Order: sequence, then structure tokens, then C-alpha cells
Amino acid sequence: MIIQRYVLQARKYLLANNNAIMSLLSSMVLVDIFIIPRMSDVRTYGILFLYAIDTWVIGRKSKTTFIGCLALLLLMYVLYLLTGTSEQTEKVAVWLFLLLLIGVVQIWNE
Amino acid sequence: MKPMNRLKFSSLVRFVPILFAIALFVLPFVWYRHGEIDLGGDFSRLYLYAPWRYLQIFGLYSIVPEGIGRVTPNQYYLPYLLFLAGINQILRSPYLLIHVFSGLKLAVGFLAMYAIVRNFVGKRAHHLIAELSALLAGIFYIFSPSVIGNMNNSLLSHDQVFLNPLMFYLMLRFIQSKKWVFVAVAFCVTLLFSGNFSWFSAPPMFAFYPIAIVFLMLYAVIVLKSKIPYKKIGFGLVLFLGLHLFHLLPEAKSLLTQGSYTNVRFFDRQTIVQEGVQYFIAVLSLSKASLNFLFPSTISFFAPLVILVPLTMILGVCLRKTKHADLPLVMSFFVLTFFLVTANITHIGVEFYKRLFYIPGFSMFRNFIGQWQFVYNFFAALFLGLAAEQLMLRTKKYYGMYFISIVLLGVIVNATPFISGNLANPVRWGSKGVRTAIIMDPAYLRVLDYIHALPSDGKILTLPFTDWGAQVVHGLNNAAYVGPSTISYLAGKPDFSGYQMIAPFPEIFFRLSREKNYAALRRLFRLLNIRYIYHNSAHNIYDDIFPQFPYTYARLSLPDTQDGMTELVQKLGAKKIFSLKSYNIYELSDFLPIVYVPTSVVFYQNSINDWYGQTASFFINDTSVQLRQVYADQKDCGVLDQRLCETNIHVLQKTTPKLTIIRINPTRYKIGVSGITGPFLLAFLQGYDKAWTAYISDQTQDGSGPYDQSYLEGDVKEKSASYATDTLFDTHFFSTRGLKAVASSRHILVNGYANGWYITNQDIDGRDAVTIILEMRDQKYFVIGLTVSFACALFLTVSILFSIIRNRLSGKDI
Repeated sequence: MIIQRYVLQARKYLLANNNAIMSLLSSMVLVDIFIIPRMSDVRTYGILFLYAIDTWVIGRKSKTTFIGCLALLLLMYVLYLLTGTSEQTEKVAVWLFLLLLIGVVQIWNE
Repeated sequence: MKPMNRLKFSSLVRFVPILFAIALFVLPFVWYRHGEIDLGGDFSRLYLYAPWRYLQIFGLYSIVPEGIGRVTPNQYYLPYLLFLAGINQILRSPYLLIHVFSGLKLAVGFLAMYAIVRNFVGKRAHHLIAELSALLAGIFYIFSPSVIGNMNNSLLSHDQVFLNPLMFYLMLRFIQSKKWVFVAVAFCVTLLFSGNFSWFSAPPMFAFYPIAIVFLMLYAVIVLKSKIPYKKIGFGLVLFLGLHLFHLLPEAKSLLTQGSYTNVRFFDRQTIVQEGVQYFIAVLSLSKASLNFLFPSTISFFAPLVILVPLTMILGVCLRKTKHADLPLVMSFFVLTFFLVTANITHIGVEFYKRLFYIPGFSMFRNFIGQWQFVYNFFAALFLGLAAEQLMLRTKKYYGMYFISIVLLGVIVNATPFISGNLANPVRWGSKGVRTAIIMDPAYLRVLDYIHALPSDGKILTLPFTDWGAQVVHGLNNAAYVGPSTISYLAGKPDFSGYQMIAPFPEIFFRLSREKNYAALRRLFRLLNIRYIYHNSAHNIYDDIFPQFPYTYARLSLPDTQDGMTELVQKLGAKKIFSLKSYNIYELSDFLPIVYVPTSVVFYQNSINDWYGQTASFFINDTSVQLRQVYADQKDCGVLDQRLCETNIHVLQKTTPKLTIIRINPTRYKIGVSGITGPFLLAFLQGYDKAWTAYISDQTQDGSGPYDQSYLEGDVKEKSASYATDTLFDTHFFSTRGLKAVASSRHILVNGYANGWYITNQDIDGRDAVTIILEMRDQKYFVIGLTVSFACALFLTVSILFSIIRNRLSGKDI
């Protein structure tokens, strides 16, 4: 009961600040891709965990995740044309894969 | 569009896949000029050149027909080679045979992929949408980077390109309809292409089929909501194993034999680490996740088109309308296979992948990019087809169709280098402008015929010698074959053509060549049963035409020019016995027959820990010149006689027994031994393997028989034989059953690689003449397996016929 109440409260809060949270998470991903030079599992899975929790709590549809995939795909495409298979392109590809994985899990839950 | 026109258009659309399939079938004929064939590669495609010969030499026996003749089960190609030989009887042209098969691979691969997607989407979508989705999937699959990026392997060497989708389609139809006929057809396909279901093809087989079967089971449960026919699947599995027992049984024996090549790679932890994990780490950096998403073309000009395929996939998922579970299922497998083909997904992903190599057998996927590529492409094509359908279902009017048509066009444009044939006949790496597809020189075929007619005893050394077990054969055009020895596989004469083949002596061979120690070289050739030297003195297979590969390492020790090679042969004292154009065959006078009784034994210490069996320990420093000498490890001295352990060289006998040799086939020799006065050592110059056994027969072999070869001053007589006179089943095939075998403890390694048996008076019951049958026991597993496979094939045929007749009579489908 207590957990359910907390989840409901968290859900309300997250729903109210959905855009801000999405912007924050997106910014973190972009910072990871463009600013921080090396790949860190703690960072990657940390951001991913936050997104997964947020998605679970507010019941976000898989379509949103796939739109995120679409954005990453376009980013990867541009980077591929400009820099080839650079570290940044690879980082985007890994993010795309991980987001796709979350999207698939979401689809099954739906 | 008017209704009538629309109807006509719809009817026409049905012919599009057929037209595509015909175009794909014709493609290989467009790529190559008449007579041009590409036979080379690590494993080569010599079986396509002369399937019947290849079958007789390679496909029936568990002996590698080149080098020292190691024991390895080779029977996996048997039905395929019979099938090829049958087709070749009709076509009577290797050119036609090779390109008909390449064309069929492309066409069937496309049609099967098309049929799978058509089957998934056919019932729920407008038929134009279904057609376009299926076409896109089929074309994408055939023109994917795994096919066109490495077409030498994908199209010529193996059959994954069409077998994977074809088998998947047949299994899918069985799951949907529960009709036995699909299983029966699938089994017939597996039997015909049995090489793809053998241990030899384990990586691609285990990469695709377990995943495909799990997919289909989930599809049955989740999408079709039907029960899995466990009993039928179990029965099918038993029948499959029975059908393939002729190669699975010898392969299983090899796998379970401790210390065998496959056993070590499967179970030995150190080997797993060295050859599995370390190899995986070495190639990891080649894997690029972005490339696996974008499927780029080989031409950078087309780079902007790479977005089309992944965009269709993601857009299709974003716009997903139907609640069918097939798309999520396909996506799940797409994601799974993406991980398997990429591996380089975060540090945790890589660590997890490394752990997988400790599962027995997983080290076969150490070259993970190559092994998972086709599986990934298969699910990517499936995903693309279903996503394209969703995209077209959700978009207004024909916009979706227009978009998918553009994607289809993009995929085709991306494959332009493949379609145009630019990738088909590339310049050989390391050569100066020499291409891969040769027009066979008829003079060389005469050489092969000559070699084939030579007495069976005595192996061949091929010059120029290569860095690995390859031979270079130049064609009439500016192209060359580089692959396994044609002398071994097409003429049936064991050949030492390169570094690996001459193991365990390659480094010694190179050292003696550098030192120009011709006497020692001749001694080495004697130990290896080398009787002939084949030297192609043409400049276009050596000199500055092939300045590097495949001679880079060999050149450091052997003469750098063809003239130098000719001089080397002369210095070895070999006599020319055949010459045609640049092809020369020489014979060495003092050679040791395949079976002989040594007069003395030299014991050596394994003091030098060289990689190939410590052979340098005894060979380099030995200056004795005795012809009938044998070398044995000091640790085996007690096997012969404890007293021998005190000396290094020991004279075994002053008068040696006389031998008569009859070769039945490469796995069986009958040796008549007469004039026995005491215990003797029998040396057999084939690769040492515990499976070789010496049986003592009561019968005596008459020395006055049809023996036309005589060696060692008449002490050894031999009936001339070749693969053409080999008999798989001689009249006394099971005659060794119940015979006394020489104890395995007295079966020792001699000359660093060969078999030796110390035969005592007790073995021969004090007789002065006996017949010894040398038999490679593992061959029996093939015969037992073949009998079971034949019975299963008969059962399968009868059950299909019975099913057809019964259903015809009752008016049902099969």
C-alpha cells in the first residue's frame, strides 16, 4: 500500500514534469555522445535506468521510445556521413540499440 | 486508376518476384566469360570442378588426401557430391555447373525470403502491400552486405544464403499447416546439402537453426496460439539424426576422442581461452554497431542512401497499427542477433559475450562477425518486410507504396557493384593484376591425368612451395587458382604444397633449404614418403607476378625465382619423367615405400620444444645415411626392448622380413610379411592416429601375386593402385572382426609423425609368414552410419509415397 502510494505520487510528479525530465535525459545522452570522450557503463546504464524507471512509472508508450530511436538514427546518419564510423557515431549506435531494446520490452508489456 | 487497369496491374505484380528470381539466376552468367570459373579459397570448390573424382578421393574416407594423411571424417559431402556428379553428367561443363548453382542460390534465397514475408503479411494486408513488403525483404536479403561484401564465400563457398530462408520457410509452413510433406521436403534438402548440417559447418548451422527453431516455437505459441507438436518434432529429430548418421557418427567419434582436433577445441579450457576469447578480443574492434544499422554499400558515392533501410524499420515500428505479435517477435530476434553480430555494446555487453565462450562449443563463434552475419541479415530482412507493411498500412493512399518503392530502388542501387559483376572477379590480393576466375589449361588437365596414373605409393612435393596448404594454378586467361592442392583432390596423389601440409617438418624444410643441405633434404623427403616433385616453372605463378601472398614466408628460405627452383630440383638429383609446357614432374630415386621394416632405430630426446612435435631434436643433428632408418622418441624405447634405452642408435635386425603391399583403399592396407626371424618394427608412413590398428591374419599373402612395383632391393613389393582402383567395400570388409590386433601400447609414433608397430613373436604365434591388415578403425563408423542413413532415407521415401497415394485416394492435400 505504501509503495503504491509512493508510486502514485511519483507518477503525478513525473507526469507534471514529463517534458523537463525528457529534456534532461536527452541532454544527458547528448552530453555523453558529444562532450564526454569515452564510454562509461555507469553513465550509460545510469541514464538508461532513469529512463526505464520514468517510463515504467508514468506508463509511457513504446511509440515514444521508438521516436527517440528515430531521432538517434537520424543523428547517427548525419554523423556517419560527416565522420564515418567515428567514436561518436558508434556511441549513437549503441544508444540506438539500447533504446530499441527498451522499446521491444515495452511492446511486449503493452 | 480504373478498376480494370488496377486488376491487370495486380495480376502483373504477381510476376515481379518470378522476374526478379530469373534475373538473379542469370546474373552469374553475366559476370563471367564463358569458361571462367572461380574455384579457389581456403577450402576451395574443387568438388564443383570434378565432383565424381572428388567423391572418390575425399568424400568416402576419413583420411585427408593431402600432406601426411591425417585422420579426419570427411563424409559429410557424400549425398551432395553424388547429386553434383549426377547434374554434371547432364551439363558436362564445370562452368555451367558452378554458375547454375550460384544462380540457384541467389534465386532460391530471394524467393524463400519473399515467401516468408508474403506468408506473414499475406492474409492481413492488401495484396499490393504484401507483394511490395515481401519483394523488399527478398531483395534486401540478397543484396545485403553479408552477401555482396564477401560474395566469394557467401555465393561460392557455402549455402547459407539460400538454405537459411528455405529451411525457415519449410519449418514455418509445417508449424502453420502441420503437414508432414514440409518436414519431408526439409529433410530431403538437409540430406542433399548434408555438408551444411555437419560438424564441418557447425558455426553457421548452430548460429541459425537453434535461433530459428526458438523463433518458430514462439511464433506458434504467441502468434498462431497453437500447441507445439512436440511428438512430431521429437520424431523428426530422430529421423534427422538417422538420415545424417553417416557423417554424424564419425564426427561424434572424433569429438569424443580425447586429444582430437575437435575435442580439444570443444572442451579444453586453455584452448578455449587461447583460440576463443583471445581471438574474439583481437577481432572485436572490427565490429561497428553503426555499420550493422546502416548496411552501407561498398561504394562511398551511395553513402547517402544508407538511411533508407533503417528509416523504414523504425518508421514502421513507430507507425505500427496492427496488434499482431509477429512484428514484436521479429524485432526481439533482430535485437538479439544485432547484439550477437556486434558484441561491442558497452563494457558489460563485451564481458558478457566473453563469458559465453566458456560454454563448450561456443568458441566456434570466435569470428563472431562472420558467423552471425547471415542470421542477423535474415532477421533484419524479416523486420524490414514487416515494418514496410506497417508503414504502408498507416500512410494515406499510395504514399507509403511510393516510399517503399524508393527504398527498394535504393537497395538495388546500393548493390550496383554486385549486379554489374565488379565484385565477381577481383584481382588476387598480393598479385600483380592476376584475377580469380580461371579458364582451365587443358595441358594442366593432362598433367593431372598423368599424376593420377602414377603408382599409388609415393607422395608429391609441389614447387613453388606456399606459405599455407595452397597450390597456385594459372589459367589460360590472366587469372589463377589459389587453394588446396589440385594434385591431392583431383588426381588423388597426396601432395605437400605448403607450410601446413608438411607439418611437422616445415621449419626444418625451410632451414635445410636455406642451408642448401641437399642430402638432408633428401633424407627428409624419404621420411615423408615423397617420391615425386611437381614443378610448374611458369613465371606467372611466382617471380614478380606473385611477389607476396601466398609465398611471403616461403620466399625467405626457398629460391626467390623459378630458375632458382629448377636449380634446387636438379641439386636434389631428381630425374625428369614428364614435361609439358611449363609443367614438370621429377622422380627421386631413393624413396621409402609407405610400409617398410626399418633396419635400425634412432632414439631422440624431446629436448627442443619446437611447436611441431620436437622433430628438430632428432633430425638436424643426425648425420647417419642409412636408408631404412626410423626415428622414435626415447620414451618409447621400453616398448621395443628395455635394453635399447641405453643406446641412441640400435640395429634391429640384420635380415629383415619381406613385404608385399596391397592397398584396398586409403583406410585399409593388406601387408604380406614373410621371412620373419624375430620381433620387428613395421613403419607405416601415414599420419599417426590411435585409430590405425594392425591386425594379424592367419592367411598368408602370396609374394608372387600381381605386384608391379619393387622397392628396397626387392624387400618390398607392391601392387600398383590409385584412388580409381580403391574399393570402399572389399570382399572381406569385416574380415578384421575377431582378428588379433597388435597391442595399442606397441603402436608408437615414428619419424615424428607416422605410425609404427613393434610386432613380437607372441603376436604372430611364432610363424615366419603372416598377413597384417592395417586398418583405420574409424572408417567403420561411417559404414555403420551409412547403413542407418540409407534405411532412414528409404523410410522417408516410402512414407512420402504412402502419404501421396493415401491422400490422392481420399481426395485430400498431402
